[in-house]
Amino acid sequence: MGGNNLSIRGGDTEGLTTLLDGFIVRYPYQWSGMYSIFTPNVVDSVKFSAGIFSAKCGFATSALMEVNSLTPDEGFKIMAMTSLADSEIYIQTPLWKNSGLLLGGRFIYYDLVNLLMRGAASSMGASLNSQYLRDGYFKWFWKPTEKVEWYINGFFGSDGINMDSSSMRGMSDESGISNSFNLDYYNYDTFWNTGFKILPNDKLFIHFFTGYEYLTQGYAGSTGYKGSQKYSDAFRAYYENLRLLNPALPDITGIDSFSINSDSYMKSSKILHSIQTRGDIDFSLHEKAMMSVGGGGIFDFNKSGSSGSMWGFVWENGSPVYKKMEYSSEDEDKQILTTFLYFNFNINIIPEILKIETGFRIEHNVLFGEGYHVNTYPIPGPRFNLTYTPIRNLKFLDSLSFSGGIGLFSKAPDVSYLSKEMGLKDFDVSVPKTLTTVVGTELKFPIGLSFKIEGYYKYVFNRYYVTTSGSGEDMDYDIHTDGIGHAAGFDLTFEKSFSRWLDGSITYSFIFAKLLNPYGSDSDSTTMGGEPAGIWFYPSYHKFHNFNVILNIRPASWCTITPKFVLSSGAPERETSTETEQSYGILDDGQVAEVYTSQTESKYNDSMRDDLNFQFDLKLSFGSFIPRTKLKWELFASVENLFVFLYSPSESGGGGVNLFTGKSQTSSGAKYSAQIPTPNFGLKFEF
Amino acid sequence: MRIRESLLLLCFTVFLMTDCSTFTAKYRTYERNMHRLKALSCKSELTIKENGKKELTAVLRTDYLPGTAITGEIKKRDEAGNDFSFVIQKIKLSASSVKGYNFGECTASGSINFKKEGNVFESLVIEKMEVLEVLKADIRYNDYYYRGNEGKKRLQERINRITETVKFLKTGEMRKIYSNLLFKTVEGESFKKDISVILFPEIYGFENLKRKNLLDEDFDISELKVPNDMILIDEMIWRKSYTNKIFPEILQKIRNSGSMFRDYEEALDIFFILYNLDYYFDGIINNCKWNKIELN
Repeated sequence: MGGNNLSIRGGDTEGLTTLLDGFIVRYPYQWSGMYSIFTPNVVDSVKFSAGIFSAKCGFATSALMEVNSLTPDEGFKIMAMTSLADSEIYIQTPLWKNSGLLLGGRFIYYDLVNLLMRGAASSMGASLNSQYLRDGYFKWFWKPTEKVEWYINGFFGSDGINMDSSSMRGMSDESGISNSFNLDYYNYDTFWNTGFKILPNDKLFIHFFTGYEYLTQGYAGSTGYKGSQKYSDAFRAYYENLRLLNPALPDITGIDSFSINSDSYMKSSKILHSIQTRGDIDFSLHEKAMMSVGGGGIFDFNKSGSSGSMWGFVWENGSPVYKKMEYSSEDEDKQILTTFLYFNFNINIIPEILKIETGFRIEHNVLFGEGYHVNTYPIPGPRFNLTYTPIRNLKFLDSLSFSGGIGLFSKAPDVSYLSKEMGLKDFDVSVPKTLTTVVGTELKFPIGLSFKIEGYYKYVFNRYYVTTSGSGEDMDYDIHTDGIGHAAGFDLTFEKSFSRWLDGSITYSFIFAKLLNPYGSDSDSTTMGGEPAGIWFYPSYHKFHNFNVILNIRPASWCTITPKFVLSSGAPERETSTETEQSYGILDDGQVAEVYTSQTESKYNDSMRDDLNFQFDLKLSFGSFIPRTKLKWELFASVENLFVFLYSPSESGGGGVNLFTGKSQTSSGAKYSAQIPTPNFGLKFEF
Repeated sequence: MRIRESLLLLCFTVFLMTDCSTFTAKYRTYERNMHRLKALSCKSELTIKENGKKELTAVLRTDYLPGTAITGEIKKRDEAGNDFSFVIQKIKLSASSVKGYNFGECTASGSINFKKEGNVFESLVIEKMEVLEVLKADIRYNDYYYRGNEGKKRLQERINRITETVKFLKTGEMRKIYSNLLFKTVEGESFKKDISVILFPEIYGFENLKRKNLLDEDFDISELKVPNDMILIDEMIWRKSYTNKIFPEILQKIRNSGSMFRDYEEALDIFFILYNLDYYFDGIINNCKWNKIELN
């Protein structure tokens, strides 16, 4: 479902998994990855692991984000913030003894920003989307005794984007026919989970929970042609020649123009119901050793469908006829049942000097739907991590550590293409896997400075891809799980922890990643996902270089300036060529339309890349507590993409040919986001 | 109590409506010199209420001790109420800074007699006020909160450190009492500016320290040119030689560890309150005249 296009260390974008208190949140993003559903006001801590993470966690092949929710145990607190684009309110309150509740709401809107930027956007030929985001947060806890905690986490989120490019695609000089395009994308997500944390004695900790998530995404849109257009002289000559060959074609002699008024509609949706449960037990075996065991299961129920009525030219009786075609597909319900067991050891062999974490998990998936039931082989997930700190507590060096690890990671594939027609049997589908190795070193200096470098290599195997054979109603989908790949690179991080003057981080990543889908007869073969087949290729999300700087500059204790700078190399770009041919079409009312058919060829090219991506954001905030009160105020102003006027990378894809003039045009997707700086300012209160 | 607090405005309103205290009297005084010099209005106000048990309680608030409420009981010494004692029992503190706040309630001792003389009441301090033990505390610094026993411990330690620092400041040449914490008045420099150059000349300037001559000791800046004199704590540099020369032994560790600067940054109000406290009781409200401004 969805996609955030966030690739971690050359891994697949689906390889990053997010957990909230252990519960897997399937799509923790909004606005197609622009925003996370988690805000600092509901989160206690976040741990991001891009290397070898514990055997406790699975369902991820490239990285794991562990989010721990805030426990509302700090009395009564309220935070309210409003800005041009955002309003938020969070309330924490104690309920009874050792019990508390957190309720929060967030509402993001761009109407006021769009109003401000309308003029600039118009002059740059960019359209401004109407977008909304509404989130609600819930957390309750109760500690009936010091050793038992019961909690409930809840979230409801909805977001959507309306892309309306009708005004951008009005009548051209040559054509009196305008093309309208409107698309509403939506995403609704809600999840609730409840669990217990029990500490029977000081050597045993038990945590178990169960939860449910409902996620639906989709779109509804329309596109249409309206207006009339004069026949060109070239078309008249072309058409008269055709009529000589086929006198049955309608005569356009004495007719100046044709007119058209057609609207096409389409909608599509995906639904996921997911039920999860798991239990974990931590045993303190020794003061230097901790053992964890656990297990659980996830049941996913997927459903998707699409329908529409589209106007288009189809061949009938030797002529292209403009017809309305209805389509509807209600996909079968598809389910996955995943179960797992694990054990894990944390051992401080020499306290503060040498520690290892090692463990093993085993996962099993059953994929089933109408007419098929596929067991997969149980997947082992061994993990090993070692950290050695030979140097500590020097005058100018707090510590020097070396670390290394290896692990096997897996995640069940997308099941949307599976069907009974494939005749799948048990063990026909392999689960994609990644073998990861990391090695690194970290230096920590006084006053919170640290430097870390970590290199990695990943071998990707049993990659899943889908190819097609046949066409039209006879099209068959073929599942393959023999894809392989290599990814290697290193990350550099220079960080300064919280400071009264200046803190922040500078990071650089170099990534090499190439994949191979072995099934494919020639270099033009592609998979259903648009990947090349039969050749090694850079995946679409691959970028060689990523450089990020984020700083917090505090010239005074009440003032913070936050510049953020991102520079990354371009993603692979496909080589495309379009051939346009003059043609004609018979409209539903018998008129003859002057049309141009086009055929676009898109081919993978190993050396073509998008432009460098550069972004600079700036935020300025002032704040303090009101004297002798608990009320804090903050005033802030920010600009996103401040220098987009000076440099704006080209965006690949999205081109097309005007059906009635044959001229190239910019499609609705090419500039759907505003290529203009986005200002914001607001006021925040906290009590 | 926490439950009630959490039930927002509604419960607060109900609480106010059901509070059985009866407002009885209010006494107010302006410090004469300040008034004449057109400085900030520095008033003190004693509000007396009668609770449901017919006991008289009082709250003393003053601009000299901003953010405090000194509470206690009223003991009548005559039937007409023209002669009574205010026996101090508690003090509430509320101090905030850019990054957080310190709220607390402490037990306290002290006693003031009020006696009507003509149209006004005259006050006489019988027992000087002392801040004793922290009963409740609520501390915040950035996103860190300290409440319950941890909060009490931290606030008590902070009050103890500030009390010692204030004792040291009074040995110098600072004014007896300050009417404003942050701003300059007709009397002179603000409290903040004066203590900052004494306590932290590394930040606020040794030149200012010398020029202001606020210390009762000669301090030669050239003495700082000694090896290994600097201590780096919390990204701030402190001079050991200055600490050792100027501060009493009990404060040397507090300053060199950075605690004194953290107290100054996070609880400057408490410095001001504890500094003014003695002088307020000795000099301002001892033999002071109060107007009874309202009666039930």
